[in-house]
Amino acid sequence: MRSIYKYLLIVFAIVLQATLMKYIAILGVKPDALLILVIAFSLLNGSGEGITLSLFGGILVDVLFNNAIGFVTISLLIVAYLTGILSKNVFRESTFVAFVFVFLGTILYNLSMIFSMLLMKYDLNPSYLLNVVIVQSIYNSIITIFVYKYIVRLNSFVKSKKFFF
Amino acid sequence: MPRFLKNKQFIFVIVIAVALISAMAYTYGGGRNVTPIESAIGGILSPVEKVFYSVGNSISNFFASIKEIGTLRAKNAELEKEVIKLSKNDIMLQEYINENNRLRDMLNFKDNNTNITTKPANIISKNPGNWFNTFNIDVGSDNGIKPKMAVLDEKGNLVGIVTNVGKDWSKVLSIIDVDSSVSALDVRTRDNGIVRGDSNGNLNMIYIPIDSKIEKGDVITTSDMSMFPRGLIIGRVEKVEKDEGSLLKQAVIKPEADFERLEFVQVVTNMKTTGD
Repeated sequence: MRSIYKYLLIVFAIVLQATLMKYIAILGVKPDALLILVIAFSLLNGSGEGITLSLFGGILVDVLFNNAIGFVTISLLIVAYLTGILSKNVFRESTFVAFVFVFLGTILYNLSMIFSMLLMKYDLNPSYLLNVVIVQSIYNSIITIFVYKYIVRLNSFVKSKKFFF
Repeated sequence: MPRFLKNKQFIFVIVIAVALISAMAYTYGGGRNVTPIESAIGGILSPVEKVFYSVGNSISNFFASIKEIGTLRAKNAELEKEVIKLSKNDIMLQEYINENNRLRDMLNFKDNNTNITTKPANIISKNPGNWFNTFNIDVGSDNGIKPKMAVLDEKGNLVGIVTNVGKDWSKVLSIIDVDSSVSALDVRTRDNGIVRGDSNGNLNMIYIPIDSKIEKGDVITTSDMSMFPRGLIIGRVEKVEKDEGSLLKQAVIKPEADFERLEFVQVVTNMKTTGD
C-alpha cells in the first residue's frame, strides 16, 4: 500500500518538470527528473517495477504535454526494461552504479526519442541533438549522485512491512 | 521455438511497444479534441501546475526586478523620448489612415481587414522534455476553444497554434517548434515564404525567391494564405542566407515574442477555419 508514495513522487516530479525545471536549465537543456526516478526504481526493484512505473509516468507525460501519445512512454519503457534486466548482476544500492546507469540510460532514452522523431519526419538539427544528448546525460547523472541515497531510503521504506504507528 | 519467446515479460514489453507505436501513429499531428479520460487527467493536474508555474514566475520576476533597479532611471528617460517621437508619428499615421480610407472609397475597394477577437488565457505548464516547444493553457472547449486557433502573446505577436483541446485546458504548439510551419510575408518587400522552427529558439524562413530584396531588420508577418489571420507579427529578419546552387533564399528570423518569459497569452477565436 505504501507504493502509493512512489506514484505520488512520480506525479510530483512531472509537475515540477513542467513548471519549475526551466529555471535550472544549463545551455538550454533541462534535466529529466522522471527518467532519473524510473531508472533508479527499476535498478532497485527489477524490470517488472520498471515497466509499471515507466508506463504510468510516460503515459501521464504524453497525455498532458505531447501531441503523439506514446512518444515518451516507449523510450522510457525501453530504458527501464533494460535497466531492470541488467540490475540482476550489479550492486544495486551503490551510487556509482546508479550514476553509470543514469548516464547510459539518458543517452539511450534520447537516442530512441530521436529515432521516433525521424520516423515522424521531423526536421532535425544535428548539432542541437548532440548538445541535448551530451548535456542532459551529464546533468542527469550528476543529479543522481546527490539524490540516489534518498531514493534508496524511500524504496526501503516502501518495501518494509513494519508499521510505525 | 527460440528461448526468448518463453520469456513472458519480454513478450509483454513487445506487445506494449507495438500498441504505443500504433497510438503514436494515430494521435500524431494533433488537431483533435482529447478523449474524456485525457481531459480529466489534465483537469486534475492543471490547477496544481498553475500554482507551481505562477510561483516560479513570481520568484523569477522578483529577481529580474532587482537586477533592473539600477537602470530604471536611464530607461525611463529613454522611453519618454520614444513616447514623444511616437505620438508625433501617430498624428501622421492618422492622416494617412484618413487619406487611405478616402481613396479606398473612391475606388470602391472592399475592406477585408477584419478585426480579430481574442480570449485571454494563462500558461499553466511547459513541455517537460527538451525536444518540443509546446505549452498548456487554462482554457478549453468549455470556453469555446477549438483546435487550430492561433495563439498570440499579450502584445499581439504570434506565439503558436492550439493543437489538442480538453475540457478546461488545451495544448499549444509554439511557432519555434520544429514541427510548426507558418505561411509568412515580408512586410516591406511582399515576399512570401514559410516560417519554420529550428529547435534553437529561432525561426527559419524558407522558399524565399532568389531575386527578393529581403534584408536584415525587415518585419515578417503572417500572410493571407494560411489559416492564421493576416498581419500577425512573427519576428524580424536577422540574417539572409543563399545556398550556392539553390534557386531560393533562406532567412533566419528572431521571433518577436519572448518565449522564455511567456505568462499570459490570447487565443484568437474568430479564425477563418477552425476545427475539423
